[in-house]
Amino acid sequence: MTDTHIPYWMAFAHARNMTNKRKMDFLIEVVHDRETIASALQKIELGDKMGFHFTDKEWSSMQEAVKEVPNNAFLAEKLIDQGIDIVHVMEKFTYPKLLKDNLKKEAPILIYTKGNADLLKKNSIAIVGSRKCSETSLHFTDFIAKKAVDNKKVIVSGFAKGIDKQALDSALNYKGRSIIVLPQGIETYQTKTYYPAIVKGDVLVISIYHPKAPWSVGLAMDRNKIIYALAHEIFAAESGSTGGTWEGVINGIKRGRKVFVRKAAPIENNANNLLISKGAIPVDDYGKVVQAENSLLFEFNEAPDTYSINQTPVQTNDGIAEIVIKELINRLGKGITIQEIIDLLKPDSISTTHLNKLLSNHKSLIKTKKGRINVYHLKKNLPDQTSMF
Amino acid sequence: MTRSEAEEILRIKFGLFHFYEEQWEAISRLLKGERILMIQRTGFGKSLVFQFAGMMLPGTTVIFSPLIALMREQVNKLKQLGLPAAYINSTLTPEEKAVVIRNAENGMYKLLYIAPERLEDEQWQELVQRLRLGMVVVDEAHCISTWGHDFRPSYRRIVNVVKQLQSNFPVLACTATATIKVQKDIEVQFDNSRLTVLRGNLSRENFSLKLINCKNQEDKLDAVLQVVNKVDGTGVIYCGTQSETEIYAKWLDFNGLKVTNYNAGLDDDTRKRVEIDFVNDVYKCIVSTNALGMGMDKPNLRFVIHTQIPASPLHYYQEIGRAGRDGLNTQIILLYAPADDELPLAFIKNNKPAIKYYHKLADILKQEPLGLFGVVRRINLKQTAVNVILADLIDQGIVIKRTVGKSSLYELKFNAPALQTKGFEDLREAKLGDFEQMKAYMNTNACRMSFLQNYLGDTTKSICGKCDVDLEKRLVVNASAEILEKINAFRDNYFPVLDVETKTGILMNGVAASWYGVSNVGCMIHNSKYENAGDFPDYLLRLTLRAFRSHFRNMKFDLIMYVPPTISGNLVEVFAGKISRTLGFELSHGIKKTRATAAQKVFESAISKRDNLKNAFTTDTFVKDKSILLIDDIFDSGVTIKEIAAMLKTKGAKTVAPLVIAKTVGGR
Repeated sequence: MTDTHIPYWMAFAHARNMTNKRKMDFLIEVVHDRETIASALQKIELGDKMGFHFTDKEWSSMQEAVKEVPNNAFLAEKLIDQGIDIVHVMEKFTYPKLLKDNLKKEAPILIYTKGNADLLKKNSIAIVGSRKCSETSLHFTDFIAKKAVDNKKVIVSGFAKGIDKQALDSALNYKGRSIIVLPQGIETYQTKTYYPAIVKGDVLVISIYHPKAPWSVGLAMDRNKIIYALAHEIFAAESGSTGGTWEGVINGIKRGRKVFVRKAAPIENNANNLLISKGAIPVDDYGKVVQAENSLLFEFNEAPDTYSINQTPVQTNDGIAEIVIKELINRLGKGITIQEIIDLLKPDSISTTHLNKLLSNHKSLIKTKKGRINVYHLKKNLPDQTSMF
Repeated sequence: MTRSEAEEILRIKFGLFHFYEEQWEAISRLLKGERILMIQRTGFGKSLVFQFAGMMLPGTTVIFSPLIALMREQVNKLKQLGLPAAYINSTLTPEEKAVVIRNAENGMYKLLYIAPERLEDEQWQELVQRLRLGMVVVDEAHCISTWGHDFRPSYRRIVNVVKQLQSNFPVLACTATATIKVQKDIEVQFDNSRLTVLRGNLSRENFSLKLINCKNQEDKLDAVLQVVNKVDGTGVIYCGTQSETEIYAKWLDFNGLKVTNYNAGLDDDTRKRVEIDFVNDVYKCIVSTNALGMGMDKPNLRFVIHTQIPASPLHYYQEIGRAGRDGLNTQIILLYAPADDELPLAFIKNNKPAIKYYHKLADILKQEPLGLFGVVRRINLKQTAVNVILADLIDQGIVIKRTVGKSSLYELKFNAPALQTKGFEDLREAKLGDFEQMKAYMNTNACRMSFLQNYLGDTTKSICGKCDVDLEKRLVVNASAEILEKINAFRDNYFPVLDVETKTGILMNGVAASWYGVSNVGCMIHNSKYENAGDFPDYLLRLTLRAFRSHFRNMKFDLIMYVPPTISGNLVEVFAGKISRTLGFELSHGIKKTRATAAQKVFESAISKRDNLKNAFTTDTFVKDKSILLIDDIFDSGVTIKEIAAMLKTKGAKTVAPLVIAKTVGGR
């Protein structure tokens, strides 16, 4: 690729103090004036604002950016030499349409890619989730990935630990294909693990940040919108009540995207069900949509027929989990204390106080006191517990 | 800026009064942000163009130059003038480099010289992002073109940088050696719509170009001796191979002249020392392969002798180009014997490895990225061949070279295009054509300088009046009986040196009785080894003992040891026994193999040879503090000798000196 405008695009895309939206507005002006980014920035260099209302800050940033064009020539040469493709938002055929459609003026001005850029044109799903996650979520991710691969879909993930890595590894394990959306500059991606897959064309690495930008929490949060924008469907395996996955799903919902969230079992310590209550679509452990209006497991009395486990018997390999759940339901009939729950479930990341709070507020439970200790019971008028299995 | 204003500054800053017409044209265009290709002869003053323009332009001018010694020289001169300049290349220590980088970041330099290879250096990449850039200069721009005489893969990336630079950014490419074809190639690569070519007169008026016809090596040895004795001042003798450089250097030495050989086999320290000594006139001349041309700055070379016909008039013009830069009369002599064509023709024929290795290499890289050594190990080819393949694959966008820190990895590119081999054929054809032109230079009936100028696309019509053609003198050498006798005496007493000394090891340089393959010695060894002709003949023993005395004089050794055979047989053992009895040094049979090894000749690269023998030897002989004479039959890469010496070092041996029957011509 020998587009000599690339150093200009880099200067423009990474100019500070100007939002993406404002840059897009300026680009519209550039197109309108039948200029190119190079001729436009050359005008800016000479002090011509082209009728665009730059703020003072924007203007001085642009002036600075133009001076970096020769430096960018060196950087662009290096990137291209290393097999990295640079695509700007005005390139009709190579810039991914999904990004523009989904993000509109938030669509990144430049994207840097390494690998098979054709993957951007395929039907795709994103699987997202937290870095720390349960085995159940990993199994869910693996299952969704396998199904996606079977359906020839590309799996988009964020290259973090936990769910992201599982999604990527599962995709490749099932001989599928994957897009890695980096939370950092593409030059800082050095891992060799996916090299054969990149060479084969099964993996595309993509970044929208300055090539040298190091990983940061901010970028990790920010890149979620790219993951969402690049995917036709979005599945969340596990989310905390704060953090990247949470923000991502909430934003997705706000943008009117369908976000499928794995419906969590009551014993799980995550915010999946809270997301469902905020408008995410609940799915079972196999990605099948469940129509629970109310999101929490124990409210099956209100919609008992739709509770997923009723439809699909638990096929978990983990027989112990099944026994544990049965035991838990039984004990809830008789009454159970927090300590007993903890002894039974051994959850490793939930405090007694937190659990107390969750259970106290739960509509399906009644709290009684035995001395100073809380005992929880299931409310009456419930169907026979054993029918669940 | 007007010319008179500029010349006022020239006077103040550089102490010079006027620009040449062509210099000023280039400077004024660069100041306007144009792109220039300047083709001017050596000594014209190309560097003043970019030095001056660089001083006038805002920011720092970056100068890509492959000539490390010239870089150093120019920066020193600029510093003496009080002009802010520096260089970054492999000769800087990390501390020196850090200082230069810090100063450069602070905008302290107007001119910054860098070696093209630095484009791969992370520190440079960081720095270039922070420099305020004024201009980019590409010195020795012919290195861009595969049609030239000195194509360098490292220039590929410079071309790509220039392609990325905006159209109003000043770029200067300059060279003294570009044919029209090379010029066109540079124009295309640098985007000809924006490039102005300024071509000058390439005549070197102080050169006396001469061809001396010889029949054989004896005539050449005679001719070289005559010229060196006759011409005042110092010069260079160019040979076709490393072993030839050794022979000519020894011959002149035998005749009482202070000379040294200089070739790619020398380590950096030795090379640097030779360069400094030569510049300081310690030597009458140095004998070199063409590796030299790029190494040193000495304006008063009075003669250049080629004992071997170069591959093209372009090579020739470049190799003689550095001589006589002071403008004084300089003898440029080409020796030619009919058999000389073989070597350049073989080079041209074998300039690329077989195509199957290109595919094999790409296949190897499918699984994992590898460093150079990793590739060499897996493909079993010589490192030079692997380098050729990698450079071609990178050039064709099939392979990527990624440098992280100090190590480089080669990766296969996704969606790599198919290998194009037609270009290889075209290149071969072109090189054959170039060689034909070199023959035409020798047979020309016109002025030799005007032939070269014409070949280089310089249409100035002139006659030098100094070449053998213009003087109507056909020069022929016929070695006299007297000189032949001298040559025989030389050959009887000349034994190839085994150059194996290092700073840290216990090896000392040894000696071989003969060259393998250029005498009947090789034949005798072969017959004994592979044709069951029995022990090495006594002739070889006598010759080896003479080599020993010539090289080691009366040196005493505590022990004689020998290299154990790969398969079976006791030829070397018996031979070592005879040497032991004659010299009176104790014989040890103590070097043993710890494991079976393959024959070294199976492996193409030095790395694989080293791997084959790594920790393969041991000894139970008491060697502590002993000096050891180590015997073998053939010395090729020297890997066996080095591995054994390393093992003996761990056992406490004091010194190890190799003595062998023959040294291969290709080996070091």
